[in-house]
Amino acid sequence: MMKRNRQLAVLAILLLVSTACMHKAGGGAITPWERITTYNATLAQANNTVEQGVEAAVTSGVLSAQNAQPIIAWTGQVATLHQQITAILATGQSTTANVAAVQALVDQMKASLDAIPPGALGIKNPKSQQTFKADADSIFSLADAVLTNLKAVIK
Amino acid sequence: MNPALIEELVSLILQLGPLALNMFLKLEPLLNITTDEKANIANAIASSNKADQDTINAVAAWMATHGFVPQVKFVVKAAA
Repeated sequence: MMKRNRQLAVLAILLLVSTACMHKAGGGAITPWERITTYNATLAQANNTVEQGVEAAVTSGVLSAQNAQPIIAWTGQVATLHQQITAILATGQSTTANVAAVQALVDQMKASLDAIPPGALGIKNPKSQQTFKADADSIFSLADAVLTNLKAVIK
Repeated sequence: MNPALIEELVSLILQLGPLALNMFLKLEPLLNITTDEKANIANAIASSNKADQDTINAVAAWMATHGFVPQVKFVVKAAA
């Protein structure tokens, strides 16, 4: 518990320092599309980090390759689905059809997790120090944030 | 600077917990936003595509290394 608290404290300090830099050089407001695409990029990075974590878990012997395989495959599925979301966002249009398409892709992303045995999801990711299930929930939170912000700018 | 966005982003990333700590260095380029909106969006899109492609490549390499049959290309069923 103490280790986790220390990690969160370090994280909070890093974020407070780093996010202080998240501004335009001229001090202008950040647009909704900048926010959407930044959240979207964060999701891709988070998924990549999870994939690396599963590999590390196998390397360290925490997880067998057999049990890791469905999680690794899931990160590949998430990346493939997410490429479709990014392609939609790259059009720069928040139409009803685009929002529906992104919603469908996010739903598939969430549903695909069901194929992973619960036991494997309960293993702790050595990269994040939380379970792979918690990692997946974090990715879903980001997907929901992208969707919510996209809906907010619908035309 | 946009305090509201900063607060929102901090809140969002804090929800990620320790996962965000590991992502910190990867995310740093995204925190350097310029005054050019189109450039910022293009940068974020490129960053996203690169991360996804890195993941896909890593998955394929891991599967091959560990003797698993490469996964069939995931069928995307986006809304019509």
